[in-house]
Amino acid sequence: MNVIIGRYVPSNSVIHRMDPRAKLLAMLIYAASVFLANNGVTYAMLTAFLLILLLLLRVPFSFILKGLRPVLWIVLFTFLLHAFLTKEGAALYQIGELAIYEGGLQKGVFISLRFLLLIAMTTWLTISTTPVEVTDAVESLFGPLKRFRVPVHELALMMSISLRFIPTLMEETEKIMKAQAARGVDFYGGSFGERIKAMTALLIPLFIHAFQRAEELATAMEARGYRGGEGRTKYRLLTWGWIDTCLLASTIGITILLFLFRT
Amino acid sequence: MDIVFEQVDYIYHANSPFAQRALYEVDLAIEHGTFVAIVGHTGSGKSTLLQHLNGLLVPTNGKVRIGEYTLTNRQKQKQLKPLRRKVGVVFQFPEHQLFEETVEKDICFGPLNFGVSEDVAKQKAKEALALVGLPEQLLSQSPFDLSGGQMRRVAIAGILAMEPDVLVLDEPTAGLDPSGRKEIMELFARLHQERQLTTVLVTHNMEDAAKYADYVVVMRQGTVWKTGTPEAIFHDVDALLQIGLNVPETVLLKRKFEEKIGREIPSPCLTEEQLIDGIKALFFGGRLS
Ligand SMILES: Nc1ncnc2c1ncn2[C@@H]1O[C@H](COP(=O)(O)OP(=O)(O)O)[C@@H](O)[C@H]1O
Ligand SMILES: [Mg+2]
Repeated sequence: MNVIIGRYVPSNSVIHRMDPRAKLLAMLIYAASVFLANNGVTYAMLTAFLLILLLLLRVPFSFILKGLRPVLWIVLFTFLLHAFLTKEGAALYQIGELAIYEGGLQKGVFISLRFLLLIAMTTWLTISTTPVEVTDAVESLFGPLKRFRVPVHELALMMSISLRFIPTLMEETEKIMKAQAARGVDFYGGSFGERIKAMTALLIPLFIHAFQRAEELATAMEARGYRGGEGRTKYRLLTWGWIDTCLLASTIGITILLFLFRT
Repeated sequence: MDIVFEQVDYIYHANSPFAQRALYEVDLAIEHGTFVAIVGHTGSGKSTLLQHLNGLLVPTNGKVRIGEYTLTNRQKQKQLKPLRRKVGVVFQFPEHQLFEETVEKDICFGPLNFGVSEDVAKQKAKEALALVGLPEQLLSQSPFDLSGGQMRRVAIAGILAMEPDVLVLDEPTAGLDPSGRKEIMELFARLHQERQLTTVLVTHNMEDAAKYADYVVVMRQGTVWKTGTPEAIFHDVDALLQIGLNVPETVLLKRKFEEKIGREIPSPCLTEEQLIDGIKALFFGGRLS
């Protein structure tokens, strides 16, 4: 459970207290503008902006880095792939058949940096925003689409229920794994057949419970008068403050700068 | 197999912001062949402690010794299989672990994993099913067609069929009706005797702890608060009530009774029989008659 991507870390930082709509919009704009960067200056601007946002989280930096470690392998792999396969510019280094070119090196750095920035920005959002807040933001931002008969409320509800049950499912997985390990299942090795058996011993109880729970939840919701989004009021109201405007403005600002400085 | 905990700490998700300490310097010794009841509040670390008994969890600090096995934080998961054959764990709501098409296959699952031949496993499944008081016809049925109580029994049979030396039970009767509860507890008591098991039972039911256990371990906030015989533990009624735990009904009744008549019943009154005998002795033992 050392994977931090997608996990909320409670804190009382400025970012944590912001309107989730602002954070979601900032994340989306940032993610789009990452693809505008194409030279050293623009990548430096993006990185600096992200670093500031991460610092404002008031979550130990070492922890964010540690959490990103599993993704670092993919980043490294991307880097090596580009570094070795792009044959542009002057050859810098020769290892037998393989050669590293200046262009390849640059491309490798840029592409893997792009990847890293995207992941880090998503992590920034999920660390500071509970899944429920993200859902509220999605429902609110996409609300206008209701006019075109897009079932925004239902989609948001589905999203929040799924998110709500991820920890429950993980807990249940752990419990069932332990119960089956106590009956001699080896989840860490064994032949192919044994592995298949181990997976069935885990997945079948897990699915059966997920279905049971879904049914119970549906009954409970109906018993409490749930009839869809029509006329339903909100318990948590989203409030947009000047700080949210600041975040959005600075993100747009960065995007404009990227347009100006890209080559 | 003697079980010894030496200064055991356990921290869930150690070295992360989600770190959650569950056990603090636990020292505990369980002699071979004893019946031990562990009681304590929800969250006091009972289940965490139990999972150390077959290496599902290994201590963050300290040592757990079970027979010839020693578990420390450097334990490899692979070497634990022989230990798990000897220590059978019935988890809380064990019916959640059922998964096979038939009851027979599910009960055989454990024994087969530990290398028992198919014929022998089937034989053991039959015996185990009879032990938990279910008819043989159920063997060919799907475990998912059974009632909750029957599923619980099938799951328990699945552990009994492994024929462990140590039986570890995490609230095995939670959610059962009173008669089912009594039957299951009687079964564990009988097996404990017949197979000379070491039994470790986590329970919220103080009557069960008083009736079946040789020793009671009281857990509180991740530490062992007190250990002793049921007589000793339930003698100090106020201390237990103070930390929010119960004592057997009969002990409470004894106390009220003593307050009313101003005399002491000499017996500890842990069970109904003891209470009745104690009162009888008081009235007809030549003193009050
Ligand atoms: N899988 C887990 N992850 C994180 N914390 C846990 C986990 N299991 C238990 N805990 C925590 O450890 C403590 C002890 O829990 P547990 O051993 O289940 O207590 P009990 O069985 O006495 O109710 C609790 O504070 C609980 O929240
Ligand atoms: Mg428990």
